[in-house]
Amino acid sequence: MSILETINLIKQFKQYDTVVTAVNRVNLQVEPGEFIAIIGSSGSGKSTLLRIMAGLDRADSGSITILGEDLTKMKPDALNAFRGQHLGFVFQNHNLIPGLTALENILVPTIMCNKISIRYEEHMKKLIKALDIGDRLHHLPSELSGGQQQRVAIARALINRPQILFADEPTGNLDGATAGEVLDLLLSVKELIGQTLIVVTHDLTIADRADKVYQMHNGELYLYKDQSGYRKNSYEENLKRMSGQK
Amino acid sequence: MGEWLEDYYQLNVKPAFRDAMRNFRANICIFVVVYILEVLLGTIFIASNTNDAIYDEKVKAEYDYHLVFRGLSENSKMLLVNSTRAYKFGSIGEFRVTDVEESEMDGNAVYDVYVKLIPNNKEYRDNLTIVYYNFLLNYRQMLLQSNPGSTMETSPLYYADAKYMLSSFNYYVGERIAEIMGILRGFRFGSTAENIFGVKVDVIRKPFLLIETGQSLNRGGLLYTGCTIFALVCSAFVLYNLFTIRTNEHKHTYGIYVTFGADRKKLLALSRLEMSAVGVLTLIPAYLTAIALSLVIFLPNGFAIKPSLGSFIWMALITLALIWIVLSFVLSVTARKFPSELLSSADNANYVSSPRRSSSIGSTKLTMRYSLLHFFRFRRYFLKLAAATVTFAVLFVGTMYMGDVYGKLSELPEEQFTMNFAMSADSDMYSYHIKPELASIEGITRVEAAMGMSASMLSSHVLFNPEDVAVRTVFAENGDGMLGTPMINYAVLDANAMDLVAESSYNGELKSGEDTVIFSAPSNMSDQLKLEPGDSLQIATLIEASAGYGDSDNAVRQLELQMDFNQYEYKSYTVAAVAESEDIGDSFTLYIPEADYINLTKTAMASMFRSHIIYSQVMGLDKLDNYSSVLDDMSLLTLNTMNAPLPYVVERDALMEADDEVQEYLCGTNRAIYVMVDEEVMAELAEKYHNADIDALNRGELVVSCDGYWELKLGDPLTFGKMIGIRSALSSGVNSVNEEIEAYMYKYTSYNVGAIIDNGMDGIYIYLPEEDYYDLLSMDPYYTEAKIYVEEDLTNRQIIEIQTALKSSLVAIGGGSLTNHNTAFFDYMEDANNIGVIILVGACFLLVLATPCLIYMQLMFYRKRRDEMLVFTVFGGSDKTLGGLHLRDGLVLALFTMLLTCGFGAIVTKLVHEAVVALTGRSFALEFPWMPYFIAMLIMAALALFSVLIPYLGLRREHAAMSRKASSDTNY
Repeated sequence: MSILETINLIKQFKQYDTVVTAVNRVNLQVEPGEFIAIIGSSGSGKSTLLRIMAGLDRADSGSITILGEDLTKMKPDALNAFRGQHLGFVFQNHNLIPGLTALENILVPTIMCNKISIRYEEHMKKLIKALDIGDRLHHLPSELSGGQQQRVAIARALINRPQILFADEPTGNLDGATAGEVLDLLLSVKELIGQTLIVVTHDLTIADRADKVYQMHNGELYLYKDQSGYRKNSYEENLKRMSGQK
Repeated sequence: MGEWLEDYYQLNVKPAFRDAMRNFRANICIFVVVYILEVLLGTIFIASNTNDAIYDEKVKAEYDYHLVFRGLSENSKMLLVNSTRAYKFGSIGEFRVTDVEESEMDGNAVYDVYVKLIPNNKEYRDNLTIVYYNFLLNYRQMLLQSNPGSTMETSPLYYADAKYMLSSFNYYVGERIAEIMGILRGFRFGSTAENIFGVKVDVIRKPFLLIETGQSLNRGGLLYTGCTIFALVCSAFVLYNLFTIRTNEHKHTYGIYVTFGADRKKLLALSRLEMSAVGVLTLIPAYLTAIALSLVIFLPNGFAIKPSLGSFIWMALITLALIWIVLSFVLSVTARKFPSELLSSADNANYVSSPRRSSSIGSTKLTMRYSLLHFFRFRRYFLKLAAATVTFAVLFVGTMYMGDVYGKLSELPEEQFTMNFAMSADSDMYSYHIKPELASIEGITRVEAAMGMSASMLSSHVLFNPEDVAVRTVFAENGDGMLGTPMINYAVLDANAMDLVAESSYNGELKSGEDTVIFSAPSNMSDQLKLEPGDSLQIATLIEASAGYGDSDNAVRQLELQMDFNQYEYKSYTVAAVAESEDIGDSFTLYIPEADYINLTKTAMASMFRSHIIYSQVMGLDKLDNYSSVLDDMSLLTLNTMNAPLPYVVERDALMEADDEVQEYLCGTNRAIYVMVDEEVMAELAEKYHNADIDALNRGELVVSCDGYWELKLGDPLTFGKMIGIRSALSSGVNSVNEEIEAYMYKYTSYNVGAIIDNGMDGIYIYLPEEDYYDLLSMDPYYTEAKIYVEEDLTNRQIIEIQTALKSSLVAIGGGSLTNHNTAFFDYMEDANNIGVIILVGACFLLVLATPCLIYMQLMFYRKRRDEMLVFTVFGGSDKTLGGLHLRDGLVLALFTMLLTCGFGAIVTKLVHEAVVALTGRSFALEFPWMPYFIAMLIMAALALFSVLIPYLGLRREHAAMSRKASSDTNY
């Protein structure tokens, strides 16, 4: 059974006379433990899709089912609680709270879900060790490098042991070497906890390591790579079909 | 439970206090505002506590009785006096008669008996209740029933002690519950029910919050209740604005919280606890400041303050409750948003109306240079800022004006008693009998009566020479360059008037004469005229009114129309003295010779005549009913500029009800038309009606013209009522004869019908000789009430003695009523509460509150624009350019808030003026509070500039760094 399934998801943005369809009838199924990458050019709608799947935004129509629960039918408080329990999110620009130390930032989800951090001590120690941020825990975000901030953000996203982790361009603001480190850490933690990972990225090196790769183009989602390899031809075929070529 | 508390502390309280302390610099304005609000509330509660303590102390010193029975017979008095020796309520307590005052009513001795309830000291509160209820049960009903006309009153001591019956809050709640239960159980007020002690008592209505006119004198309690409500409303408004800004600033953080599972309850809990931490941290410093402020209020007049644990707890609870409630409203919308909306709020979109339209005004596109006009670009924000600032400034102006007005009103001497006469007294009666009788009572310092007639009611006015007028606010110019005013009250220049004027400051000589007048101005209008003794003025008498102009609500504008269209006759007078009275008012007073006063008032419109005719003709009921309905249908109108148009109606039972068996009724009308007959008119009548005996007029008889329904015959008597005094007020316009007889006092004169003519007009016309005409329709001066002033610092016992003496005097001069205003007591409490200082402190609070709000809003605003400033710097913006932008912002903001303060300040001042006039019942002219206005605008302008400067200076420091960064970026 899929851990995540979307059916005919649509999201549009209206600005005066212009309507932009960011997500156009997206159907997606994700199996438990999969590493999914969604690639596409800027403005293709991939970040919007990710936020909708994570419950951070609302679709105009369609449904999203995670762990058997339909997110589109949930009330806001219930959705927030579900997200806190089962989902994690890593932002492109970290979004750490400037006034809190690294450790306090990591523990934010436990407070939001009314869980005493002390009960997470063992898990937290593992995370901190895996992400190698033990010596920076009592520093403010402004005192951390970009890579360190992103690692703290990853720890924050994982502290509640979510079943699915969403990451929106987690290495987008990092240099090549750091990006590679962060990705390795992400994948090792994924192995450690055994969760499903869905990443939005324009970096094909990340896509290479994913179990499946989807391509977002003008709001539409196409399977780009699966276990049997890349399916570039089908993409090109789709392109041609759309441009009227044969 | 312990684990739950521990978890709650770790998850909520600890993070809240941590954030409050850590964000102290960012939240410093919130700390300051919460501190100020706590000081305000703390001061109110301490002052209220102190006021109650002073009041209780004063009441217990002044009043030695709880109840007083008035108008008891000798037997009832003796019953009470003797009963005290025998009647004790077990071992709980007893009652005691503390005083008996004897007076006279209808020739019989009546007694006022003062009773004190005395419970045993042990368990005072409960025992007092039982003593009270048992007393009511055993005596009240019986005494009141066996003494018709007697009353029972409770004293202020009763209400002071009533708090102890169940404690004041419980007392109030208990009484309300008892009231509702009584109603639900079918008890009506006045019936008997069982109280909570199982004792049968009368079901009587208790006053709201123990305040009822004449019973509880604790006006200070009302004042502090009003202050508390005002403080709560201001606090809620300020906190709402502050928390809204803070929430906007924290939207991004809230977005992160919600992303990681925070629901609405969690967000509320975190915010509430953090702000509550702010409230808790400022509690003790605020309470200490409140104590200091309370000392400023009470110490100058020698009263010690009474801070208490209760006032501290109330201050804390109300502050925290306010924070919690306001945050609920503020966060209710935010908490429902999706995280994406909250996370993307980290921009300036909140402050601009529409980014796409920011560079155009209407359809005109502006250049980029003007797009940088911050005030227009961020107009939505600046409007909110201006609204908050102006609100406080305007409230400050209004409060200061109220304080100024209060100060003036409180300086006016107030009478201790008002005596209303059963019969109005003429000048001689008042001056030579009433006034000396009252003034001879020991303890009375002054007896004052006033009567007068306003010029506008008489369609009259007074003309002054232009050089005698300094300020023309209430003056209109006539065609000859003279300045007239309708804001004049005419009064008779007699001995009483001269005594009255002598007590105020005056120039000239207090004398009367044929063409001599005395002019008096209220203190607030004394600067409008430069009149000196020896100057002349002219009094206008209406000759003929024109129908060619409409009415105006503005008296001066109305005068302009009257002077243009009506015809007047003017008579000159010389001013013997010019006085300035201590009163505040909206009219001058002109004391004129008595003959002229009568002459002037005779030209009043007919509605002022209030005369009527009673005719002894007897009509059968059927005929009368028929007559009445016919006349109603006819609705006759007669135009006469002197007598005013009135419909013609007959009323029955004007004087008394006739015997039902005979079915005869006396009838009267107040709508006859009186016609003055001089020699010329008499000759005309004689020529026209040569068959009628017009000469009857010379014999003191009447000539009457009436339609057939009157059935008048020659020789029939008609009795004319001439109004000589007022018992109670009637609405202006046409009233029935019965209503007039009840409200006014009349002197009756009878005439016989000497001749009957038919002048072809509908209605009844009475032709009167000139002398009788004037006699009937003029208005003699009369007195209906006197104000009585007493010495200062009299005890309540001494005032009661004066009251008893006044009651006896009242009987001697014909009866009436006496009202004790408890002025001495109120003066004492006003001194204690130092209300002028309270108002000033309140006004200053408003300005002090505005300051951190304004600065906070600006700080947050400019913090948002830091990136914008960086961009400007990178692309060549210099110190001068940025400084110029900020300075322009500050100047425009200052000008904008000052203009708004001008407009709204004037409106609020007018509203306060109307409210004070309505509440106090005193009329006075609106004096614009220039000084508070000037102060408010100066402070607002300074605040506006200052609030721009602070963030600019901060940004300038960063700007210097930004410049270095910009140049280093270029290298990079």
